[in-house]
Amino acid sequence: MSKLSSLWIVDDDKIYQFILKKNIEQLHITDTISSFPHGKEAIDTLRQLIENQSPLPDLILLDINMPVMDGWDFMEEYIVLKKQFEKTIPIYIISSSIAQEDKTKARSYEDIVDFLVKPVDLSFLSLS
Amino acid sequence: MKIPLRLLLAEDSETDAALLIRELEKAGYEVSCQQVDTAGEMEEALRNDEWDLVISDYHIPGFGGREALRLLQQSGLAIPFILISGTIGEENAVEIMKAGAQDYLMKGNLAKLPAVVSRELAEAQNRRERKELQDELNTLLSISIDMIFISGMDGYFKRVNPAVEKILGYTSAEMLSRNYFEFVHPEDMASTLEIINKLREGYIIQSFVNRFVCKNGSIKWLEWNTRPLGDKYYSIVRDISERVLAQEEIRKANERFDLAVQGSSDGIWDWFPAEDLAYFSPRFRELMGYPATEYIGGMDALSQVTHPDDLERTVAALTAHLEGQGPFEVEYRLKTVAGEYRWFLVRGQAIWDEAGRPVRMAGSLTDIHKGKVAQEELTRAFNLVNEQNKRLLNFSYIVSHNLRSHTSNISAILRYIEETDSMAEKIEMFEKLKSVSQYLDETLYSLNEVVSIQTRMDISREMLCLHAHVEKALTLLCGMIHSRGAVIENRVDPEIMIEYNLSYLDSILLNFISNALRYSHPERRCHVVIDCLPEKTGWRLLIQDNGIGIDLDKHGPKLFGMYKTFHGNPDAKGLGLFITKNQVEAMGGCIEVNSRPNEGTTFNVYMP
Repeated sequence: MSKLSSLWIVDDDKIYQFILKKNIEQLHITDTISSFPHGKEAIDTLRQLIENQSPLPDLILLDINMPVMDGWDFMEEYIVLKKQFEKTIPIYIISSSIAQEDKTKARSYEDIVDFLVKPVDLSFLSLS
Repeated sequence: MKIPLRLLLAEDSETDAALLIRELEKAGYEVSCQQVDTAGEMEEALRNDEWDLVISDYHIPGFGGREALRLLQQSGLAIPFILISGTIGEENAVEIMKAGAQDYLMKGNLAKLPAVVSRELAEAQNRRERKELQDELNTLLSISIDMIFISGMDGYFKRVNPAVEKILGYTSAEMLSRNYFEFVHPEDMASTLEIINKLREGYIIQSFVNRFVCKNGSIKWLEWNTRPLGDKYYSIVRDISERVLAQEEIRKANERFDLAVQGSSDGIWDWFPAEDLAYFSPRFRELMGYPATEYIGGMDALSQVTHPDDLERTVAALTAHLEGQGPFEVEYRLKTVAGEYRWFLVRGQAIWDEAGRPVRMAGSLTDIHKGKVAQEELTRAFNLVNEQNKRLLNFSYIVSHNLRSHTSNISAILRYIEETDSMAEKIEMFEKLKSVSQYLDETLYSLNEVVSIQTRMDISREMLCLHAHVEKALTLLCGMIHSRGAVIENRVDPEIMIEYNLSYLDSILLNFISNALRYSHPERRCHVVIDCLPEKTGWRLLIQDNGIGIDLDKHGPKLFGMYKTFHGNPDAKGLGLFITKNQVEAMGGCIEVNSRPNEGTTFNVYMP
């Protein structure tokens, strides 16, 4: 797989951000990793990039339970925004939730590639 | 005064005729006479005119006394016939008397004639009167609808009228040939015998009722009015079978109704709308606690004890039924005399007059209180359990979620510690591990708190001064209030005392006030008003701020969920509102929230 130029982590858990970053760095699959503490910061940044016609991320790892704007609200805003660009950005949900209704809901978004439950092993990303 | 006499005289001798008439006129009769001497003339005279008397000579050539008598009898007229003769032998006289002549006289003895005529006219008159009486009696007997019996003391009927055969089926001959006890129903024998004895003693019997067995074997109820006279009893007897059977039907129906009313656990009511009069059965009175006899009133009395919440629909259902729209069947609460509202099922049916006005309505009253209360209890319990289950499920997700995020962090950090050779990195990782441990601690503490609210069944209550506890919370928060320059108004009336759990009250106040401070608007001074207003039951605590507000459309449903925070505030753990809500509900109240982004938020806490 060709190396990604940009990967986003959207998660309010600082420790987990740190751990994910470590994990991804070891896999050498991306040049840059950006972290956001909640959905709103990620969406604001995305909007900014579109306006500036800057390169968009190649992959997003998204938590569900976050303050200010949770993962689901992020997806709603994302669907509106994505009409403005052509790129397909795979999104992975990474959550501690084992609730079936969260898994079912994730399936209803075509942009969500998979629903992963913490702790996750991201080594599969280097294979695909 | 002259007595008119229309005389038909069969005589061939003019002289004899004149002599005879003169004799009669001498005696005071005014005679109008027609004289005939042939059969043809006699027949014609009988046919065309009315006569009081026929006198005939014995010897008339080609005719004669015998022939004249025969013609008279043939005509069927009841006119006396006297024979006159110059010479008549004893034998002939006897013979003609036997044939039906009333009397005979010798022509030489005409002086006796007036006396004979007088006697015969009187007797003829008697015979006519008797016949008339007989005819009248026969007519009355035959047209009477009621039976008429003339009975002898020997136990036999002497005469019965035609109605008897019509009613009982026996011919007159059959009635007369058998002892009258043979017709009496065996069960009525004794009472009938008693009546006969009374008649023998001369009593008049009125309205005695017994049963006769008809020819076809059926039974008839008879009502006797009997009067003894001489050695006979005269009875007019009416067939009252229909009336008796109808009465029996009514009696049975009444008895059936009474039994049903007595045996039923339902109360019965019967209502006359025009006068608003009502009958209430003993069971009805028992159910409602009314005394057995006291006047209750009409339906109006019932509507006065109907539960206010049920009155409108009950009246609507009754009105609809009285207007002919559908059945009347309503479940509602009535206040018994003991002052307790009980659930009843009331059914009823009205009847209407030709003009469509309801004239009467009757129905039942069933006590369904136990079932109704049990059903309500069950629904309440079911909802409670359902709610509890939902909470438990939610709670288990939250526990799983929170523990998982920490443990996955721990395992990831440990892996890095193992993998790295750099001491500096190992130390960094240990630092991370410490903070994870601290978060885990905090999480467990919070979860503990939630569990303790959920599981405590007997939360102690005491009378608390709300104003004082608001002040206490403000004291605890004074640092935060000071640093934000906030203005807090405690408008709670110091008189207000509420029965509440002390630690819950402090926790609730602390949470809402600190929330208001935490989410104050950056561009204006924070202003919080705390007040308490009376409600139907209990109190409503108000905490109103002018902070940044919450978008309820977006966050409303999740507002009190665990670990929900809506602002990027570093203090927000998202547990506060969840715990507060649990505490308020544990005390039997609820929370309402009004908020608009950028304007402020008002929390209403209901405290019963």
